Amino acid sequence: MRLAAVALVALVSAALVVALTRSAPAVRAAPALPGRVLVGTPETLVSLRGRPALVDFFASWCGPCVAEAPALERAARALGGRATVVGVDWSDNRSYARRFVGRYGWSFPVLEDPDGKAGYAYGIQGLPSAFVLDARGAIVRRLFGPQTVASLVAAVDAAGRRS
Amino acid sequence: MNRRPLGSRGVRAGGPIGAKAWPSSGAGAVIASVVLLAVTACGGSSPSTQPKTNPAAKPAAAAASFDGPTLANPAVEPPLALRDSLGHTVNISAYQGKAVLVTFIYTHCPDVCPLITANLHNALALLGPRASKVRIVAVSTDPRGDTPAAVSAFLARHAMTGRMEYLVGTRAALKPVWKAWGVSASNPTSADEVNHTAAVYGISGSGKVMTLYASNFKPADIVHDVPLLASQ
Repeated sequence: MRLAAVALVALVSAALVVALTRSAPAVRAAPALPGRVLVGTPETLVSLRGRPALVDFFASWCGPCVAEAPALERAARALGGRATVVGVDWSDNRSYARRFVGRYGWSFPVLEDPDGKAGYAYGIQGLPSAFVLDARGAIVRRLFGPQTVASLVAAVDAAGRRS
Repeated sequence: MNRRPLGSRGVRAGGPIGAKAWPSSGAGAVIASVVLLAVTACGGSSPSTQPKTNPAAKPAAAAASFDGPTLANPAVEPPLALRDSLGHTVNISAYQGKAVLVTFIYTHCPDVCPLITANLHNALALLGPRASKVRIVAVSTDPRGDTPAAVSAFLARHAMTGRMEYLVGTRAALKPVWKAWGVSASNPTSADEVNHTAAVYGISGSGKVMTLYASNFKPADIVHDVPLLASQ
């Protein structure tokens, strides 16, 4: 009887471990970034390596992205040299996107994903969608919806501790 | 062709895990209820442009070989004849032999409508020359705000000028269309925002509503389904 109880507890524990493992977001290598540059310098997965990075997909037509835009710039400044921030303008009109970046004074590089392919590869389902990469280029966190400075900085710093 | 309102028969929307079927009910009610589940309101409290997940958004496993959610028993397309923003009459019954994608949006929508439009644009890009097999039709859910100038600017911004027919009209003209397609449209909180059903209907070349895509559909599903829709 006691043996059966121990076996049952072990079985339940094992099932719980499996369930927790399955529910944890998968860590996977980040897909390639788009090659087109909207503002700033080109960035690639290779250039991002060595420290955490925040890749933020947005569009000028996206209301929640407008809400997040100031926080993204403040987060980039707060992170300083601890991480690289890259914006990716997704399925957007170039002139509107440039105006958007200028309006919010973004100081970080912004790439263009005109046909959305990079965004689909990353697994965006809406905008904004941010992906935190560790120093080796693996996606370690996905942030869907508009973020705050605190949530962005915390996610990136957690990736830094992990690296 | 008999053109009854949508939903006189069951709707099937399932996925690899297990197909689901909704029982039949009164005309228009079934699809209306599924669509309302499948979509989210524009603007308002939506935390992002990401629509809520819904059971109807999973790819079909049991029905046909479409990648998008399919109707268990395809319904005849409801009537849809309105003027576009340039004043031209558009009647989807004239598009026999082509796939037709019908959606309901408004131009100053901050989230779901531009996402749908961007995904449709990306689907066209992926289709390449096969895009000739499909017509894309948007129907206004905002009779007051969707002026010709607003529609023109919206289409240009999303590189959809000449690629999406944007149908407009007075509330009196649009309301019967919304009803026939099981679409709701209202301004509950703000004069500038419209809560509305936001899905994409896939119409076959013979004029039947075969598929129903959630607002965050994958363009790859459309790319896969367009030739099938056109041929059926």
